[in-house]
Amino acid sequence: MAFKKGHLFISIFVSRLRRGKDLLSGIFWGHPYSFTSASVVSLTSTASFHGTFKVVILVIKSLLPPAFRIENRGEINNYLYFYLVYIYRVLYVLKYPYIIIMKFEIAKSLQKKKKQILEAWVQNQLKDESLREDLMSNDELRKESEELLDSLLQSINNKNISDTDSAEFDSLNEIISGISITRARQGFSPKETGSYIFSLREALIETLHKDFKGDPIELLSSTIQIVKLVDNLAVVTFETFIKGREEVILRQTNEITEISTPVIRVWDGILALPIIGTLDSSRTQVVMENLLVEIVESGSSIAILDISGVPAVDSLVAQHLIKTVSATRLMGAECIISGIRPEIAQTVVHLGIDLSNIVTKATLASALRYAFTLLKLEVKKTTKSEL
Amino acid sequence: MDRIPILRMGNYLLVTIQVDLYDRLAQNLETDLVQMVSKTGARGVLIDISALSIVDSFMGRIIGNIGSVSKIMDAETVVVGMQPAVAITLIELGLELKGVYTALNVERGMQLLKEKILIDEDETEED
Repeated sequence: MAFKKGHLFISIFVSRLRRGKDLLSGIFWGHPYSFTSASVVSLTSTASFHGTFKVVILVIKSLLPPAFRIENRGEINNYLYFYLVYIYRVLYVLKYPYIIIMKFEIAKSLQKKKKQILEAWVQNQLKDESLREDLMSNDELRKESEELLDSLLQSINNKNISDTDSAEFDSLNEIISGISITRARQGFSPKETGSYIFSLREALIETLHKDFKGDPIELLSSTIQIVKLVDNLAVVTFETFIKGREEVILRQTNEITEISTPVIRVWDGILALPIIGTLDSSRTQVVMENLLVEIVESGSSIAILDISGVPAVDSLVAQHLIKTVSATRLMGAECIISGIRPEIAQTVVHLGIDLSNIVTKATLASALRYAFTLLKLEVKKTTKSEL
Repeated sequence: MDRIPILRMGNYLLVTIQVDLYDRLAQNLETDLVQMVSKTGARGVLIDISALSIVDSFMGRIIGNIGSVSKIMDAETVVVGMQPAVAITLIELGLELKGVYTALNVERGMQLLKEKILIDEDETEED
């Protein structure tokens, strides 16, 4: 980086030289006292280059025609001015050494104080009231924190400190995602997961605070950087935490759909399908498929749909039921709907849904009795003498 | 041109569809079957579609048509062995095949046909 800056300086220098302009205005664009610490540092970074720089200028100068050289007689004064400014800057940097630390060593100074940060972080977490010792032991917590901090300190440098999207942070993001997904599964609350990351911010800022005691402005700017960094990490944490939760919910939904549609063989040739919970179109599809496949497999000719577990029947649910019944009929089996509660019967009539070409029974027992009649079966009570 | 064979078994006609049904084939089947019913005076038609895995609205309509035409010619139609996926598709298309009897397999289908024809004969005898 310093080398490139030097090149830039030379190119400006040379072009100015060729046009016979004032050297100074080409290199500097401000009074020494108004320089910000950033430009001081940029100059100090090129300081080692000034030796080479001077030689190159001399070489270029010797190549120029003599007439041109006479025109630039004031040049020597410019050099003097340049070195005065340079000395001032060196003194400035010697007085406030943290300027260099701030720009070049913020990552390194944090890396050096890793143990201190880790200690502060773990202490912060242990102090927190929302600590869940029942879900995670302190040793585990320390281990997890150390892994995360290690990865963080390895990833950051001055350029990417405010940009967590950069490729250097990939491994860190992975670790954070892993941690928050496991936490979501273990049953940590969002607050607990959030305070885990936010307590790192406090630890980092506290550590920086000790380095920047002399300069509140620099402390502020570096604090803002750290806050930004940790906020970005927290965003990643929350995103993956919610993703983890959603995965859990999705898995549970699938499980519920699967276990809530059992097809029972109640008798040879009779299937029963108790439906519990609301019927929506995707669930109807599953119910219908299961029922039809089971009809083919078992060769049953009667299916009983028991809807006593369906909380409410609206026109859509009724539509789904009618579809299921018609599909069963197409397969060559008879379908009976049972378990219609009085309020559901009322709703169906009020909605004007026509269930007249569907066999409906009040209870599963009466549906079974009807099925027995269809199959010409008979249930008989025997007396002891017959046995 | 491909034709689907129509087998005669006593009073019944058997049709087993074992290839993918395309539109022309289905239309030919409809005309052939009607002519066969009138020629043989069959009382029952059994169509086995257990090998049919793809169905569209046209095919559903043809099957429905065969049923209603046979009914007019005084023959009952039973469609047997419909795949679950086919049944769901037909329902989603809004085709309930109202004039057609259905059965799970050929055995049940024949049983159903015999019952229906017996009932018909009983009724005519009573008259």
